[in-house]
Amino acid sequence: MDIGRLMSIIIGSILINNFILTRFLGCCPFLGVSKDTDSSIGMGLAVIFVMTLASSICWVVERYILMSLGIEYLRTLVFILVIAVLVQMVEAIILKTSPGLYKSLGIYLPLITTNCAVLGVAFLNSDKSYNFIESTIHGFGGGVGFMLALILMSCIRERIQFSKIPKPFAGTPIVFITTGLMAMAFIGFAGLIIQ
Amino acid sequence: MDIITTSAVIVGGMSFIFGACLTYVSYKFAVVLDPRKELLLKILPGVNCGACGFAGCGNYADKLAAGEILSPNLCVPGSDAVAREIAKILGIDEVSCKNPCKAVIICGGGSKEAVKQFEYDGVYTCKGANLIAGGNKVCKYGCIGFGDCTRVCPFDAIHMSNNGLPVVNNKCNGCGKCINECPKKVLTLVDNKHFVNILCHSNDKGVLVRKICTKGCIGCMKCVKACPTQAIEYENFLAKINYTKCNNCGECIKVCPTGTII
Repeated sequence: MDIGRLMSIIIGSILINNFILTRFLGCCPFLGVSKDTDSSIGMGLAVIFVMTLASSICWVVERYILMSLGIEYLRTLVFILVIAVLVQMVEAIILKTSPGLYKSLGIYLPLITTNCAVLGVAFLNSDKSYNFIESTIHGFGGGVGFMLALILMSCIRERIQFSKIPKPFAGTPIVFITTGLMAMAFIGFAGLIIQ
Repeated sequence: MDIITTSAVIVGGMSFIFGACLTYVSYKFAVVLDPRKELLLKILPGVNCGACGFAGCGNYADKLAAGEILSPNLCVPGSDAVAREIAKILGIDEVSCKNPCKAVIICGGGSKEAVKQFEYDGVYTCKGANLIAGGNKVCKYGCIGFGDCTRVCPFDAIHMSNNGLPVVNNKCNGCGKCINECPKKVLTLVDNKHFVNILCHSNDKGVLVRKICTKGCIGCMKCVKACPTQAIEYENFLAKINYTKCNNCGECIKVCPTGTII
């Protein structure tokens, strides 16, 4: 296991192949929770946690259950099952341990269940045939990239609130345009060469 | 074993294990909610007006259920009925209820009556206009008429008339949000059983008031003399009703030369 490969995976998943801005996965919570910085940080942490856990558990499930029995075609079904259970558990645990965080995340926590970034990371891991540690790192990096994009967006949106926007663009349209511009900026990271 | 059986057994087994995990977690991390809070939330009006002094109905219900606040009568929109229900849930016997009241605009100087000092063309809010020489009317006490109170009202109880004055309808339940919002303080809460009001609170001298507003109190003191219960007091060039003495006879309305009292 060399560190260089892990570094390239983590930087690749945070910047070069950012889940929101390059792959366009998980846009729903990205637009929903990015209204203020505090809740976007909470959401980002929740996503990091779920993505890391989901990618490692999905790897184990795929390798030792699905592959050994030759039923890889059930990948989608099983991954969704695993992710849904994970999110439910995280929700129950957060509700007990930190009601404040639970309140600020509100309806967005169950949204992680249907967040395609979480499902996407599990699929990408198996497509790229990563091993266990690489999968976990990839999931973690993907979560950090998600949080980065979410926090950047929330900072921008806090400023958008105080700027004069033409009426047809006010609200969600300007957010979509901003997302597009941010995505173009992130494409610049594609030139980053990791040795 | 063929592939269909394997799939069915594996997915079924996994679902069973996950289900068991979830059950365990939901027992282990079960959050005990105070059942009274749910009940209180159902009773409270749920308009989050903040008249009780807390951040919304949820917060008030939290404080009540936790026993931090013991007064069940803080909810203004709910008034008596809600206070009694809350007291019943919390096991408090006696409830002293506030009398229901409503907001009254104590200014009659709309765009027809009051003289303007300049045309205002800035941000269309009373607060904004108030920052520029105290609004566009010459009268420094009167209603600016840009409707900050209509926007803050959670009950849709205030609307602007064509004359540029707010009108309170019977949806008002006296939460007092508009009173805090108004930069000129031309709104006040009056007990529902009183309906005679002096629609002016200018402390300018009568001579000046006569020049700048046709509806203003000019300090003639006719109402003070006409009142059979001595409920009208005159100070700072303005007649004021003492609501504890007023009996709604309406004698003052008849004698007022400017129609300030209605």
